[in-house]
Amino acid sequence: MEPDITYKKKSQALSIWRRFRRNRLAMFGLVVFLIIVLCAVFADVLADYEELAITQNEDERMLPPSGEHIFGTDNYGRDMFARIIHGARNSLTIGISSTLIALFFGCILGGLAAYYSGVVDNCIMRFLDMIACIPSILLALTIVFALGASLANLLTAITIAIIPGFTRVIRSAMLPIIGQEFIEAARACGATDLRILVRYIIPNAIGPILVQGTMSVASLIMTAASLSFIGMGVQPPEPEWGSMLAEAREYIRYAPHMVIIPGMAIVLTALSLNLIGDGLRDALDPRLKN
Amino acid sequence: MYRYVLKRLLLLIPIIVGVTFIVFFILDLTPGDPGRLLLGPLAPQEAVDRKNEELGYNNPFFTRYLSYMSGALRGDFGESYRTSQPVFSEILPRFPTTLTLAFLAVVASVAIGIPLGILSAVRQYSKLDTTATISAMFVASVPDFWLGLMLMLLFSLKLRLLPPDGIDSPLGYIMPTLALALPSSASILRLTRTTMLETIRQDYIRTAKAKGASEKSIIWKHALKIALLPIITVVGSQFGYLLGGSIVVETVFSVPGLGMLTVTAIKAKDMPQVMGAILFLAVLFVIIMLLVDLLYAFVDPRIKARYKA
Repeated sequence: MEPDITYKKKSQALSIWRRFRRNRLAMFGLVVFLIIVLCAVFADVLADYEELAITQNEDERMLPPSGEHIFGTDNYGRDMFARIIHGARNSLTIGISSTLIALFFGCILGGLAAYYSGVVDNCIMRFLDMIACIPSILLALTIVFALGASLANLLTAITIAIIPGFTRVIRSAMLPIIGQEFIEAARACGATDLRILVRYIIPNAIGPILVQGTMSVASLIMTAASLSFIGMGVQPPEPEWGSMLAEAREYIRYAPHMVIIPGMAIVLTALSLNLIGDGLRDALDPRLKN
Repeated sequence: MYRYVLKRLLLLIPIIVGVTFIVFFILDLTPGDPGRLLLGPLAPQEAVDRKNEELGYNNPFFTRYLSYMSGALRGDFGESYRTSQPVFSEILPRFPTTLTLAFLAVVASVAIGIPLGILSAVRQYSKLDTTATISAMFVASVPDFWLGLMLMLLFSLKLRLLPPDGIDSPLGYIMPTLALALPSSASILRLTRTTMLETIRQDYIRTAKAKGASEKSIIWKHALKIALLPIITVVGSQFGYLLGGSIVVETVFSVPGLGMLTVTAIKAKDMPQVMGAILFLAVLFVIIMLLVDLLYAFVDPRIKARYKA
């Protein structure tokens, strides 16, 4: 039996990948995103953090992009390229880790709600509905204000703010699976609830969860940048795209590149993730495509 | 219908209690006590303690929540630490500005998103459809505050057509509205396209076609009515998203609304004002969602029918 199962799994992943690869926009997104990830991972190799991204250089203030500084310099004479790629670390860390944490809690809460239904379902969903009554950026802002502005608190805040949405998506992805016979069969074989959730329900509901996850990394990067922009996130001199924009806003008249480039970084990252998410959705379930 | 409205109105009470409780609870986690914040770091400890006692800071959490809420119901949100003015009197004049901005943005995003979405669906896979879908994807990846900055760069600093900040003239509303509306019009476009595509494949549309109804009347009369239903819900939640977005966009354009007040208060650690402004925005959102639900029930005959008996 064992080889059969692995063979089938492999072929499914392969056929999803084949469909994904045919989607030119999605592939473009994937390539762009991989480049951004590589820049973030090798940021220290590409540009020294202390020397280029933090140390101020009075002689080279607000230089437009040139051969020496391909993205120009900022109001303290720091190289924008170095700050952008080091900022990518922060943005990607926030986007990806808060999505993963929210997915974890979303799977637990959504799984509990879907699996036990009835009172448990009602309690969890009504409580989350209540939280969802507060616009998520407002909720995140409230939490960051209460905890104090820092990278870790920003991460906590936006994670909490998206858990209700995640739980709802995950719950509705799991509901149709729980009603199926193989779950009942597993239960009849004596599988524990946890095993059923982890081994049978989550793998079968992974499609919508993956799509939601990818897209949420994009929107969380934007939310994090918004909050940093109003001073409620990553604190200077630590480079982050949103707080770079906040500093640049004052100099929009004299050095427009300072405003344009960090925003382009956000747009490119978010766009690549949205393209991947869109392509993933089509590849996972071709029937959904219109 | 009357029963439905009544039921929804009654449901509003626990929701508002819950929302205010959550906000109050989170803000209560803030370190530091009001006495110290008000009197400054140099004030003697006894004076700080006396101030805390006077403000009821030492009472248990629930007592403080109840006394705050009973004050709030009478329009008393406490006094701002920063200006010593009643919070309510600072919120009230700024409230119409934010509401106008959010309303204009909703109108603009609907005016852009719905017609383009319908056109994309009707001419699926045409050049127009591809362009609209791809640009929607692009616009949805643009943060609203950066879009605002780019509009400012183009229209105020390069073309010198619009004032860069403030709302002294009605022209000042144009850029903040666009910055808020464009990203949300993208999601309305995508949703309109999907629901329209689903609707025009329904049997009753085929029947209408078979009867010889014109293309125009099928799209605008038969299909749009049904397709609009889910769109209404999304427009409602977009309203909330726009209220949240207004916090950042108002800061970009120095629009003196609730959003900018919130940010100013946050920077000054002015707790009563932060609490008041956030509660106001959250309750406003809850009320708008209720109005949207009622509108939905009004438009959807199925809900009306359920409550007729």
